Amino acid sequence: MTPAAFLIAAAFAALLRGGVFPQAAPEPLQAPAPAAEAAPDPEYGAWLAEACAACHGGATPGVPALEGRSFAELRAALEAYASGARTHDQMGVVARSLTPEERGHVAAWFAGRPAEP
Amino acid sequence: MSSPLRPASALTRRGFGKLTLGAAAFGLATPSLAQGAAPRLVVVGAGPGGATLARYAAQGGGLSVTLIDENPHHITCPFSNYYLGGLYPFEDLVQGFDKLKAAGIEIVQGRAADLDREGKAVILADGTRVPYDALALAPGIDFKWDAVEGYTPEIAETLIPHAYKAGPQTQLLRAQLDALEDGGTVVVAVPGNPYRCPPGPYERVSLIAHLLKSTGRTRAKILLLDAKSSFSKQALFEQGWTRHYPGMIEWVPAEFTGGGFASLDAGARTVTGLSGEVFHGDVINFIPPQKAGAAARLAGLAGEGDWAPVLPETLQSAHDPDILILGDAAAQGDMPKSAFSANSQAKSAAAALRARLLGARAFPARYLNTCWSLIEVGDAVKIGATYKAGAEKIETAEPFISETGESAETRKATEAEAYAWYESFVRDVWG
Ligand SMILES: Cc1cc2nc3c(=O)[nH]c(=O)nc-3n(C[C@H](O)[C@H](O)[C@H](O)COP(=O)(O)OP(=O)(O)OC[C@H]3O[C@@H](n4cnc5c(N)ncnc54)[C@H](O)[C@@H]3O)c2cc1C
Repeated sequence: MTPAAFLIAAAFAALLRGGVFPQAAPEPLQAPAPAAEAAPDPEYGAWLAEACAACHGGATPGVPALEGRSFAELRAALEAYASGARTHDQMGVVARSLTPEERGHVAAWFAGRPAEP
Repeated sequence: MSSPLRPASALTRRGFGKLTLGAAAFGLATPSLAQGAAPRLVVVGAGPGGATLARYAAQGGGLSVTLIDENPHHITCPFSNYYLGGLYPFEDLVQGFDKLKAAGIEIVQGRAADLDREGKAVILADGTRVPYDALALAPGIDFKWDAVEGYTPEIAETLIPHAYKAGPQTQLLRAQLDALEDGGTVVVAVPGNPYRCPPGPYERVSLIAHLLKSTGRTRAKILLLDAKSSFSKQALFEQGWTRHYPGMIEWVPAEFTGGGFASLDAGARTVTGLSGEVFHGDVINFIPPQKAGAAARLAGLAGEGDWAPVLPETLQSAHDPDILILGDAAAQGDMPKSAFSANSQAKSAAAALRARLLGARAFPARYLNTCWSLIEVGDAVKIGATYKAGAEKIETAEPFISETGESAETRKATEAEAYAWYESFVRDVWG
């Protein structure tokens, strides 16, 4: 699968699931992961998300909140930052410091959090 | 948002079965563990490093966490330059400890004066012994008061503020700036590397210029005396100064100061460079050379050096595996001494500590920093990097920096990020 096709597939699969991971008992992600990629691990994602909290915790106009966004949106954004398709200083270096699996883990964690009111 | 609490199940599922192993891996007779009580983590310093560590180590339970600070609250240096520039209220820099208490952290007000590494206890200035299984030291910086003749704590408190630990010092500098007449001279003297917040003095000069300009004092001059011959984000600052404050800021590099300062005369209001050249200021902000806060230099933790060496993966002292040292006080490698760095280090240190002490799931260390600097309202720049734990030190992985050719919209977006970071960071550290 090309990366673009993968992202579309991931987006579609997440839409079908409602885009949200159950918080207490996270299900392993099914269809979209390429054979080599492990299923998202939200517990590992929670560790990775600790770094995000430094900037993404205020829900202010300067930096958006991430909780409760769909897995597909978050994952696609991280892939785009990593490849440079979407540019932002910090998000570029942060996304590239993660492996593709780790980008999945952290997207899964935020997708499974309730959105802030 | 709520902090990204790791599921408590991480501990309950895997933790308790491994408790004995965790204690063994920690490598000591842990008194609390022997008695079956929760291991006791004692943290010295409730600044960005210590408070973050206490909060994240307490998450998920299983540890008893005590946080010691000599002050009843912490006043942040981040955004203290905004206050100097008239852009941020002083009260909003003051961070209380109530939410840390509510998170189950015991708060002790007192000064850590001594350390008994054998007996595993911190000794407070009033003689109280605080026993620990694990100790974390995040005391920030001390000034080298013997480095410059004529500059003493008393002079700093009354006449020539450093304003490099936020609080009354920052207010004193602001009051002096408010009293400066149009046409007057402000001297800001900056030490050599390493020191807290590499771009801090240059942001400060920018926002002092903003204060003067916005109060109609455009004939005032700022003399930026530097021990160095280059500085962080230099091209960006110099472009900004020409753009916003033409003729107001003059940078005097090492070539003219001699690479440092020999003496200071508070009565005559002069600073003498190692070059012998004498500089006069109606207001002088003297930022002295620095070393690790005293608590991180106790009991041989800093060896012969000014800063306390640590292991890059865990922030454990290179001299004592039961002691963590983080933030400005640590000699960790490539990360700048910033609040962002201290906050980032604390998260990796807390996770590694919980893995060692409680057998919680271990994760690889991750480090990140960004320092925003406001040059003028609507015009902010940033520098940052990701870092990784190398064999010898924390190493830069991938850096970034703002560009001189950026659009006004980009600079404005960067300013919005700076405000958003501060708000988010304060919640992440103090709750
Ligand atoms: C003007 C200025 C602007 C800055 N701006 C930024 C910025 O925008 N972004 C950024 O990331 N960084 C910034 N910094 C840097 C930042 O302030 C420091 O890097 C950061 O505060 C370091 O955190 P720390 O926890 O190591 O130490 P500190 O913040 O110094 O905290 C140490 C704490 O320990 C306590 N303490 C010390 N010794 C003892 C003892 N013996 N017993 C008990 N308590 C003790 C102190 O009371 C204090 O509360 C700035 C610094 C300055 C000076």
